Amino acid sequence: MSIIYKIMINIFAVVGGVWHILWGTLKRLPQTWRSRRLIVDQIRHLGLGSIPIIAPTFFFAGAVVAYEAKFYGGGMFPEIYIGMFTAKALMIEIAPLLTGIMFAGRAGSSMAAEIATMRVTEQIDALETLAIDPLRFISLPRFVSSIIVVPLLTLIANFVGFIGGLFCAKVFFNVTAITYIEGLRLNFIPREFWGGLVKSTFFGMWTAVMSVYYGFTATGGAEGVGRASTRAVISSSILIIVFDLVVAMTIFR
Amino acid sequence: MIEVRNLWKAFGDNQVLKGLNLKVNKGETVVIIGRSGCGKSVLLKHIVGLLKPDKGSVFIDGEDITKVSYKRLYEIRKKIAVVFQWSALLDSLTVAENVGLWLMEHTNLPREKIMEIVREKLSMVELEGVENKLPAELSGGMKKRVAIARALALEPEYILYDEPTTALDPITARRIDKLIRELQQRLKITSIAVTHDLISASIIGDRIALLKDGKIVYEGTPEEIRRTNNKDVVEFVKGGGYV
Repeated sequence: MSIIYKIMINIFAVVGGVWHILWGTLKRLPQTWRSRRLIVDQIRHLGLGSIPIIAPTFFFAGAVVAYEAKFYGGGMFPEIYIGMFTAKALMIEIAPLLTGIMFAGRAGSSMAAEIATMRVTEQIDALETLAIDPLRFISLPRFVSSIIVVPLLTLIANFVGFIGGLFCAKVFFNVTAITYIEGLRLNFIPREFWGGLVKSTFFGMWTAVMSVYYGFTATGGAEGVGRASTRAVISSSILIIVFDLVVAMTIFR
Repeated sequence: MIEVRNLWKAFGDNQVLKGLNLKVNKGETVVIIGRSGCGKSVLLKHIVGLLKPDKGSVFIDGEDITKVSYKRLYEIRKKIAVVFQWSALLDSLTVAENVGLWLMEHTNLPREKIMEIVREKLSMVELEGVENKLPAELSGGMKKRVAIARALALEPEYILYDEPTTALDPITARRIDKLIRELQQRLKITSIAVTHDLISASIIGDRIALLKDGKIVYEGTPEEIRRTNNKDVVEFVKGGGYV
């Protein structure tokens, strides 16, 4: 009984804490212009730093999708469908989801570790004593930059994935570039494209919120920093999968 | 004036403060001494409103900060600067940005004017030419001096020092003590320092208070501390190998 009670208390504490960060940050959105320099720094740090990881990953992800599209077609579908399948799979699911998970792994862990270090070395206390609101100074720039950066990275992922698919189709199945690109255009539904970008916006949001939450609540020394980083990545990855379903059920009806 | 009245604070089962009372008059420097873990830093965090007491009040210029809104607390904090134990400089900002942070956030001064003030404050702590360095590139003593310069940039009415000489070699520690004393005499800032370093306490303090068992058990000038027969003071001082 006491174990269940403790677990319930912990769950309520986490939900309450996450809600505090999310709502507190949303309330500070009107102060975005004031924090523009911090936001630009974060975009540079989180966004540009992620491109070298996103680009090669999606080149191969696109190639895999094209290869498997051909495999599942079993030679019965015309070659033009390789491009179509690749485009749809990337836009709707693979690009936003994989970008979100990779962003949570790279940027989420980095954000959580940085904020946790600030917590355990009293830098957040120092901000408070300087009458600087930590949610505005720390959370808002990461929140805004994440919801900008993840959709942009998803766009890049889509583009590089299409190229990877083309490479695979051309090299392994001798499909011409024109046929492949025609396939991309075949049955193109704009909602599928922007639906993926909406998903990725939520993925960026949850990564930022969970990283800030676990960073702010870190205790102890190096061990606490490591724990915050791990928890931020795990929780944001789970929330990404959950919201993948929630957004999909909302948009693709 | 800072006044702490009947302050109680516990963390779980650990009752740290047990009805602590303290009064610090304008322009005075009080040093709180006591063993590690006795609650000195906890007291300091209550004075700046970083912790909420279980019971009791903290008055800053007659206003009980335990009962004010966050907005008002932020206004009151503009009068108080804190120099943290490990300096707590923001890693991602340069020395100049750290020192000028308060001015950038709370004033509309042009960047050139802020840089001028930053250089002035850094020269007050005998640091020049380090404006563009990151905290990671500085020694412990230099970080501490940058933290003091950051505190001075607020032009505060009160400065709280948390273990100002921790982890510094004796020569650097005495240099920091001297610097703190000189700044207090020159700028007439009311100060509270917590430390377990008795030499430091006797250099910077007008008055020294011993914190034991969650309360202030003795208060006196450095001279009185040296001469008293109070059991707690004698135990702490001898334990420290001071006499």
